[in-house]
Amino acid sequence: MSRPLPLEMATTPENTAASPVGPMPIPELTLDRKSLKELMRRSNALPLRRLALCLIALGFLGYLYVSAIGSRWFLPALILFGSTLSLTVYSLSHECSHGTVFRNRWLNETVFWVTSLLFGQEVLYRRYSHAAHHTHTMFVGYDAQLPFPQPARLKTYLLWYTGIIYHTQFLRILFLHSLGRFSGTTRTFTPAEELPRMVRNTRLFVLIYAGAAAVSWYFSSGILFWIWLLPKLVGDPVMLAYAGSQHFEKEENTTDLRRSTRSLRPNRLIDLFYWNMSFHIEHHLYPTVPFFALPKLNARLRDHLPEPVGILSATGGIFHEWWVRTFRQHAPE
Amino acid sequence: METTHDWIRVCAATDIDPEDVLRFDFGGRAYAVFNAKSGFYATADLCTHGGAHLSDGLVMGDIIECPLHQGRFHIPTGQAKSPPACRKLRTYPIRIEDDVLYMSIGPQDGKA
Repeated sequence: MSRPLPLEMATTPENTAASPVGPMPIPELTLDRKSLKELMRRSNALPLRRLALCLIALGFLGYLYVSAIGSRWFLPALILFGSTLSLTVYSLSHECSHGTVFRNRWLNETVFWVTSLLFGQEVLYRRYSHAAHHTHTMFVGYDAQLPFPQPARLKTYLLWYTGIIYHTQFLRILFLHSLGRFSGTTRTFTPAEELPRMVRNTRLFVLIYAGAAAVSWYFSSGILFWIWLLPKLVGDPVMLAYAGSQHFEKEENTTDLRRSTRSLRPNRLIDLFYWNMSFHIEHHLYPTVPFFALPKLNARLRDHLPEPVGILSATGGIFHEWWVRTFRQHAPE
Repeated sequence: METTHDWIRVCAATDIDPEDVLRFDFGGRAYAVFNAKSGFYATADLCTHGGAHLSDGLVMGDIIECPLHQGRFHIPTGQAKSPPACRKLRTYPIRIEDDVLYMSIGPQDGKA
């Protein structure tokens, strides 16, 4: 398989007929224009209904959690509320970064800003790094959202699943970008004219975080800690398990998304908070298809896709791959 | 391929559904011809951000959304409307004559 070109090289002002970027088309997974147009169609009503349901569910779980403070049910209620909260913020920010959730652009961007603020990643960086991830999925040195080189060691996985890598990277990016300093990788996938806007947005994010902390300190209020910071930190490992399931231990440097990406078995309850990202191969194949049409897309393609697995099997499989790679390959004949 | 002066015949106007786009290759280059909300337009086909074919994207009113990263352009002017698209898309004059669409690709692009 040939390695795709980095974005700056792939942009072709000459407008040549052959586009050099993106995943290779796979004939059996290629839909006709009419079907695709139907699947790409946007809505406001469907995502608003889903958002309302999601917020009601989070409100109920939050109520259970707050009611459980001081009781023996505190820890399970905290984990349940934190996990669903973290998963929702991550998934909705991701979907809105594609701009496909709501037909109304203003609504999409508002939800994108709010969820990205809660997620901890500035909006332009989130969009550009994720665009590079879609162009170069699992291509080492090109995929901007591969959090660490593969094959990964056990220590790396433990640092990931506990959230240490995730929080460290996010804090580092917020700090550096607010100072106007960018890594070579970030400059590769971000157009130069967008960097000042990225700095401005990051400073705004930092200002909001600092303002929230200052107000909490001034009023001696622990509300933000109890309803946001603590549940988010406790729930992040569950969100990271879902994020990790999408690509960890899948094949690198292949243009076949079925080999580089993993879909999960759909679960209506989980997908309420995960915003149908269980259909992850489908999402990578057609990122313009909104989350609510992914089950229909899956119905069209499933005969040519790998059998999806549950989150426990996927995570267990990741550690199994690590085990096989680390021990069995080095075992004496 | 017929040419009338520097106007190139593209297709019949009825070949493009309302709010849809058609890819048109000429001289080794790709163009996108739109039946947008406010009329027919022609632009370069490759997205100025990542180089994907816009003719595979979604037309909404006068907006085209890139199929790969969902950057958006205003079709009549080629202006980038939403990241990750931030650079203008080249536009080309288009006219309809007897229900046939013609586009002018200009002296630079026209020399195939």
